[in-house]
Amino acid sequence: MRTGRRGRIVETDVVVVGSGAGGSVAALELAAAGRQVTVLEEGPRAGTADLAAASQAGNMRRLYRNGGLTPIFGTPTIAYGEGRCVGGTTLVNGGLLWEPPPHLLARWAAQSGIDGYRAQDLEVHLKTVTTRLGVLTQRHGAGNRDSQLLAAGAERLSWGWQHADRAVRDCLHRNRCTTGCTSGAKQSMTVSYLPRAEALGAEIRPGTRVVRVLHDGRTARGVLTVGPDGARTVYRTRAVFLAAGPLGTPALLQRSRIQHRAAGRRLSLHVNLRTIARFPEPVHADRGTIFTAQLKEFGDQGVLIMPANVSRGSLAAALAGRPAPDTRRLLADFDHLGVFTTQVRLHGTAAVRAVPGGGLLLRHAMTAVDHGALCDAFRKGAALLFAAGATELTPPVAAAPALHSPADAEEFCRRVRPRDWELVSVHGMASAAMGTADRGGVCDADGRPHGFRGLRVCDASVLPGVTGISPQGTIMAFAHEIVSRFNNP
Amino acid sequence: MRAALHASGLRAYWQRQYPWLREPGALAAAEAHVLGTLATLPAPYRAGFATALRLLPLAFRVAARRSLRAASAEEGRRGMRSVAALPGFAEVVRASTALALLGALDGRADEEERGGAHAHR
Ligand SMILES: Cc1cc2nc3c(=O)[nH]c(=O)nc-3n(C[C@H](O)[C@H](O)[C@H](O)COP(=O)(O)OP(=O)(O)OC[C@H]3O[C@@H](n4cnc5c(N)ncnc54)[C@H](O)[C@@H]3O)c2cc1C
Repeated sequence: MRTGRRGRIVETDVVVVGSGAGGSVAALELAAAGRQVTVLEEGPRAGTADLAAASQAGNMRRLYRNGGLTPIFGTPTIAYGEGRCVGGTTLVNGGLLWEPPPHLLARWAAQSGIDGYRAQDLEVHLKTVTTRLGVLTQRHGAGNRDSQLLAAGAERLSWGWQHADRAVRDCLHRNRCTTGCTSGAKQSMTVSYLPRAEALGAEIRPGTRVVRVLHDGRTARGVLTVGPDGARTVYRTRAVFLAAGPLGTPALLQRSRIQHRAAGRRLSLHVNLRTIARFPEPVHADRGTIFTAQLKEFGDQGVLIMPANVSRGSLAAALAGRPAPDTRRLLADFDHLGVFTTQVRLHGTAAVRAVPGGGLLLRHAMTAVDHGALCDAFRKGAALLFAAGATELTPPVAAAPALHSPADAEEFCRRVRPRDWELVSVHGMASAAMGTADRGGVCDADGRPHGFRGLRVCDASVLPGVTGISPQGTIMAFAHEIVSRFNNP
Repeated sequence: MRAALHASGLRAYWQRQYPWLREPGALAAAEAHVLGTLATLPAPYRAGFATALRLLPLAFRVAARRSLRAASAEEGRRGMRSVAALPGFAEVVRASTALALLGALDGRADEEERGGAHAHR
């Protein structure tokens, strides 16, 4: 280590920015190829014992960016959740691991003008991911009554549903997936790819924020960071892998003036509608893993419906916009409630802007088509839950009354306005999309921002479009391909 | 931020609305989660949040013609409905209430033990 004009100087072979789904693939594959790898991660490191020792609220504060309160402004404001910790969002996600459908990859190839990421190209990588993470189809356990009810409702309507494919080993059904698995069963990057990368010599530096990529206008030369002690360090490298997530990567490109006009202009999103359903029988939705059944009947329309992890606190927090008597009444009946997520693929996109001081400004432009899609998706969810035996639904609109029949749901859909929805998003992607320059792409087929050498993007932001399914499997497969092109030019 | 939260009158409002916030230790857990989360926000958001919290008693008085601290549970709810019409306040009240409820119900060690007991069925 030396000291220079900008602070300390560290020489290393390769730097990986971010330790989530994309960054961990890069760390492991680069280390396995014999490179000296340093992973720079803005957030803290938390092991399984730390996760178990802290409260759920404590883990929200520690592991999520802005404690889970990142706003995407627009009509309505959407709350965006992502991890900010070693392991990235995989530490706090549901552990679902779906493979991208071949027709989606073929469509992306046609739209982006980039080949080499079709089903046959990614097959080998998906096999590696699936094996390393122990992906299995998770059946209903002793708990997960909410999932069983969803499956029964789907069968009554003759709608297709599926068990969940998850990256878990010996799941103990602790219901803590999204605040960090307390048993170590969920195969987040923290317990899978990263320890392997470390065993091969990779170094992980938590609490280290990359401020910008250093370059000479054509070639990346390193990164400037601020460490846990506030000190600035320059990492001089031969290559930089950017995997700071769908918000962080375009922000870094903008701050570094690399493709800064195009990066972050179009962030694609899935949004979630949260519906609380009351059943006559006890559901005990806090017993069981995140879910074991998902409605897939409308997957091709970008609509998926599934139960969520539930705790008294998260339920009460979701009801904070409603009059307190509603919250008291619902919590008094906690054991009979299930909370269901309806995931909808948005047509309108959002923009990510890096602002001075290290912050981000996010704005979305949800369209009238999206509002229609949300109404339609809610209607489907209501039909499913009433078919499952629910006697009352609380929709994700603070001013709306409880619904007791499909007719009530229909009336709700007639009255709801775009600004009324209480929306959450946890899936952002395509904010530095791969695609030829003439089609608006930010990165080329090797993950390099157009016109740049020594720099690769390998996280959710590089995906050419919106997946319509949980994206981690797709992100990891793309990252594997990008790193393998680097390792074997 | 602690001073802004105390000045907002929200703590008394929450205790009137939600029985869980009257349990021993709950208000402290709620406050810890609200302040701990707000501390992670970028400086401009923090400043905006603190200003809105400090202005809340005034906004409530203007909108509801009563003091937030002295308002009964019902008056508090009605007043907050009027305050929500003023730009920015609905989001700040909802976000801080959500954080307070999460902190009170999922942020305490005794809750953790209960959660653990369920989980180890
Ligand atoms: C509650 C929740 C549940 C989810 N469930 C699922 C699921 O079940 N299945 C699924 O497929 N997907 C799920 N997702 C989404 C999935 O986890 C993400 O899409 C995926 O992890 C994104 O991968 P990434 O590598 O792009 O970014 P991330 O995994 O978010 O990693 C990015 C990392 O970069 C770090 N970083 C950012 N900026 C900087 C900087 N300037 N310097 C240094 N480090 C920086 C961040 O702190 C973060 O750790 C879920 C998400 C959430 C929030």
